[in-house]
Amino acid sequence: MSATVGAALVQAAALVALVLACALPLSGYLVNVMEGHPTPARRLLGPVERVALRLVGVGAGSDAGASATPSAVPSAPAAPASGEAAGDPMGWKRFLASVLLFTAVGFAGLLAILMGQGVLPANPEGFPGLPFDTAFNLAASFVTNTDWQPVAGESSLSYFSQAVGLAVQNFLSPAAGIAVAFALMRGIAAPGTGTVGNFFADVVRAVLYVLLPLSLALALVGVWQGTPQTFQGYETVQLLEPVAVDADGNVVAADDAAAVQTVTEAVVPLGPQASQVSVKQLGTNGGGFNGANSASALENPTPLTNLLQCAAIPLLPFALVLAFGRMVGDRRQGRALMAAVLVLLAAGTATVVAAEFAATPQLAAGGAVYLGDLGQSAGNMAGKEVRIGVGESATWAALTTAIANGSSNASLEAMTPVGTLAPLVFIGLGEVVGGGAGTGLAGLVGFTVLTVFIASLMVGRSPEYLGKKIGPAEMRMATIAVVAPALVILAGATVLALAPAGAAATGEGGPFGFSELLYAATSAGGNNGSALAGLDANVPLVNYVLGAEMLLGRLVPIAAVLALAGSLAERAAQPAGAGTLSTASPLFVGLLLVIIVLVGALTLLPALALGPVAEAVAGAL
Amino acid sequence: MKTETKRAVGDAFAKLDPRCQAKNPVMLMVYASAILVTALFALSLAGISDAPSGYIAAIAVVLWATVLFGNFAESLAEGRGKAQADALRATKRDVEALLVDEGALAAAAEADDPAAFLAECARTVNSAALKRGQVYLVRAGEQVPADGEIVLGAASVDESAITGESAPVVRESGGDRSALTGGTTVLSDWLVARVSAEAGHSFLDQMIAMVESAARKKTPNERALELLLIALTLVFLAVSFALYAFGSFSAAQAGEANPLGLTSLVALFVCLAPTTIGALLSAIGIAGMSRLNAANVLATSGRAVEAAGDVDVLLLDKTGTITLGNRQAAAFLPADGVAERDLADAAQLASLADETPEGRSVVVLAKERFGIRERTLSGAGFTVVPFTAQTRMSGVDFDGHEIRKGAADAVRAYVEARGGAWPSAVAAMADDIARAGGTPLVVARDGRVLGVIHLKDIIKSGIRENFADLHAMGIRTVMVTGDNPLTAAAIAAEAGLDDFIAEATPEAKLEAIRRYQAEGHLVAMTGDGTNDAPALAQADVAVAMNSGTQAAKEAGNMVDLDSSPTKLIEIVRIGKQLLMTRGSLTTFSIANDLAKYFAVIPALLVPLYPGLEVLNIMHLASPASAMLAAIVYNALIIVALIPLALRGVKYREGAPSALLARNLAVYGLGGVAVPFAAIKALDMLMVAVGVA
Repeated sequence: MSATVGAALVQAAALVALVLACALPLSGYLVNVMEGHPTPARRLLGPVERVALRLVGVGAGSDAGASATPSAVPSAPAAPASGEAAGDPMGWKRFLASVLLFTAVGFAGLLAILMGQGVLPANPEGFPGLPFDTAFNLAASFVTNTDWQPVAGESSLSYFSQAVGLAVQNFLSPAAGIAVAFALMRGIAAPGTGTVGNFFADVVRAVLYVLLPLSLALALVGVWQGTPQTFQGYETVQLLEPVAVDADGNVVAADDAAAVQTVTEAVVPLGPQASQVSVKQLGTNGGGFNGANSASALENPTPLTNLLQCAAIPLLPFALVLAFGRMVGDRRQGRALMAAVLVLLAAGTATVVAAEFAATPQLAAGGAVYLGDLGQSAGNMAGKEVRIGVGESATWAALTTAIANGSSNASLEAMTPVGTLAPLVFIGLGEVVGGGAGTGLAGLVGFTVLTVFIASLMVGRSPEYLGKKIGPAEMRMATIAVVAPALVILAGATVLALAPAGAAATGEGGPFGFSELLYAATSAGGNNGSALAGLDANVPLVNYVLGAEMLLGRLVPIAAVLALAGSLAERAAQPAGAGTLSTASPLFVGLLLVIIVLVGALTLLPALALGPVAEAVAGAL
Repeated sequence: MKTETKRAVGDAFAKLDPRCQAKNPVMLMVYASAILVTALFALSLAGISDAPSGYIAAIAVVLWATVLFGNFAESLAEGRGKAQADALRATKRDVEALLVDEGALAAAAEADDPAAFLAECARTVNSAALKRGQVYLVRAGEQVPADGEIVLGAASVDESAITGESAPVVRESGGDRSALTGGTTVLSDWLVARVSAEAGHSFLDQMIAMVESAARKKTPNERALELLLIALTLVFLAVSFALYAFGSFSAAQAGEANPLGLTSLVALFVCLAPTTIGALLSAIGIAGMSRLNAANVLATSGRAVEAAGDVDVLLLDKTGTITLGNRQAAAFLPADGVAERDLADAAQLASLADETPEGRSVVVLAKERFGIRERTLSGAGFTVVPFTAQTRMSGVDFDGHEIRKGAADAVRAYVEARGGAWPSAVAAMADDIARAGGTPLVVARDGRVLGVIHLKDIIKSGIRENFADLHAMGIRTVMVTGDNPLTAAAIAAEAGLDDFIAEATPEAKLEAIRRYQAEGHLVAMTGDGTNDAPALAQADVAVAMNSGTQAAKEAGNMVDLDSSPTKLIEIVRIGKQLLMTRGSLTTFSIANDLAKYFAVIPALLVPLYPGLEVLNIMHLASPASAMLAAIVYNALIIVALIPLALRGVKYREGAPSALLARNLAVYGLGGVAVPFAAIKALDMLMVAVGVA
């Protein structure tokens, strides 16, 4: 390992340590606010919460109690120690129906906004409504927390579409994910009551107490550092150093004799960027205001914003994994899952960082990379911002794919084959290495149930996880949750590969062309949203296939996980004894990792062999 | 070839019937694949093909072999049961039954010779026509026509046809030995019994159905595992089909023909699908049942066997399970001023006529400790005083001396009545013994207390280690005894049990089971009496003794033909071994796929991207040989694992983490390593014989 790789990894490790240091207290806060425990935040925002709950028609539980006996005990303490249940607790079927309704309404609303933005307000650039296939894809993308963007926001979407359409979903979709995660945790912890909580109350609480305050704080830092936050129209500015293009389209100096056209002005896209960028990072969304995402100097202007945005990616998923331990009453369980996530994350990050610093002989031969010693950060600078550099770009690429975020601060398609392989694997594993807000924990628990099943049989016991028996019903649901993303990805990629329109959409031939296609299908099915640009994504077939993938890739596992939560919630917990297999031991975590990697390898290996692997070994023999 | 194997081979072909295949979804896919490739071979003969005919034929043959090997494993497992069932069926034949009506039965109770009286007025019917509730007479030398509850008489019965145990057993009306099993033979005397199960539903019928596995239903764990296997199969189906699409896309981009043919993709699919565990799954379940049968335990459902593996509380009867049936003298504790030898001598004299095991043990202990030889009491002047319920003492009078031994309070009354003193030291000794779980017997001569004999329960040798093992596996052992709590606590501590239920009544047992279940435990128990029936019905695993009553047998979900109290421990082991075998072979099967990928992926894709040759880490000779080696391995590993599936994986007790680590090392790492070596070897073999 070269010194630069080492330095980049130390920096990445420090970043993860910082995130963990924040995620730990955040996990306790999450449990408190989601479970209705009294906290300082609730004292402050409690009235807002009650109004919001009443607006969505669930009303706080304690209010109902108080109104039933209006004057009997005038000074009764308001907050019971066990936490106040908002709304009536739902069984899993009602909870799932609520998720589906919520998603459907959000989808229809967003579709209408995107198609009708031409006649809607806050459209200073006068963008027309999007065609149906693009709007379908974009709406599916944002309600599923994927944030795949078939079109660049700054050149096709009005401020209204961005701020009222997309940004609202950027809050609501992670909130729905968090609600699902808490339903699962409540199902595991429930003493046989069969209920998993109230979806609408969960969404209100997740938005009000978690997503809004955190996003506000990060947005303020962004504004301070220079990210635009305005409804004013785009600015046209004079270039300090005009550039020109020659007849072949190459950029040349303005005074070059070959110049056929000189550019002296640039359009700076403004708009409510800071607010959207902060929630894009925190809510595992990933959809940037600008097409260049966080590689753009507007979205990510300084080293501080780069650091904070990078740290914001895994914050909520990590906090939810740690909250798992608190919710099931054994923090070691959360730490064990966290350890599994960190091992996978470390392996993937090290791979990307090392590959990007090493670059490839082919890149060097093509002149894109200088492999000699410059006395500073070298490696594959193609497609990377000079101000950000290889190390931080590679770290971001690993984090944004391990976590189902999908934002980027460099261009993925210019990375080395191995450098794209690791992100592709991270997404293809399903949302397990942190994953999306809520859905990541759900995916991880699905794999854990599978591991418990196999491990228990091997020690001669009927499987049980955290005191709950794992029967055929639980196994069916855990299995669906685990294999659904893989099946959706394979199905989508198969359709794209077989359809002539799919083949036509890829930018290049050879293994890289296939990688583009595979990456798009994987990113959509895995609800990630990042892309190997080059694929012409905005064609009807690709829009429909990827849109369908995003919806199925999110809703099928959510349905399975909620059914799992429901059947676990009905089971009485058994006490742990000497013969109970520990699910917090290093051995168990090791087995969990092996099973995650094995399932991933078995589903992805053939496809990877034709894409990044073929590219990596091309010319090697 | 052994007949068993021969029969299994025949059955393997018979099971090619699609209806048989449909029961096992994973193997059904292999079956469909075999048919598909065979059709492709037929097409290739007609000139329509994506690969050389020989290659397609080879793949087809191996796929059919895979199906047959799976069938063979199941047939072989069933074979053991079938042989047992045939033997049982031989004993099950229609006999003539003497049907008695209720009036005659009432009158018979008054008759001098009820058997003769009933035989006079009985009607002869075929045993198959007997209805539940009817009463029949069976006499010496006759076969019992149907299962029944004895209402009159006592007889010795030969039950070897069912239990394999040749020693006759006594069956009698009333009490806990009143169940009579059809197919057994009365050796002496006669019995009148009321039919408890009609032909077709008898114990023997159930037994035949169980050992034949005809009544075997899939257990919850088996269904859960099958779901996982089906999901994996679907994933691999998607992977194989996707690879075709990806190959065609990549080839089109390069302007080439798709090198991936249907034959190879079907072979890839079968390679990857969890066929090993899929083929062996039902054999493992049947073999588990067979092992239980071999231990002379009959389960009414496969679910009960599996539940046995999950049991975490065992209710064990003290007598016969934990202690030997009887108490034995362990020490002589003399009173002040009495030599221990004198006490031993008197105690032996008092016990010479006592033929109970306790009495014998006193004689033996005196002989061991002091070499006091047994004397005969035949001489004049010896008068044996037998134990009576009134005196609660026994002893001997000789030469004007009186020696008595008995319970402390009885001897105290005796001594004080004769004006003797009741030494406080002796009273204290007696109390200490009782507190330690023993029984004190006080010995007195001529109104003077000599000392105390310490009778104690003898813990079976090795049982302590047994319980320690169970404890390590997380199983709580609970002793059930009629003793008082003090005694029970002492024995439980000595034998290393986790808990005890003292002064146990059937109600207390039932209550305890409910309490454990409410805490989330799964409880197993053994019982034989009718009063055990409620507890047996409540327990999760309930083993009824074959010697027990019909009510007990009906309430339980297993019958132990040996009526052995320690059988429960063995049953738990068999249950656990069944689960372990399933888990271990699943792990092995899935781990195998890694090596198969390294054989098949380069073989399929190298024509497209020659650089992928680096993935051919086994350096297999050619794409065709790699493909064939992988699917031949896939077929042969089924056969290779049949013995393990039937025998079960090596079972040992231990902490779960240690067991997991061990089984992962053997079946996980082994599952990764074995196929690499085996596929390479098969490849070299094929090259050597010039097949590929």
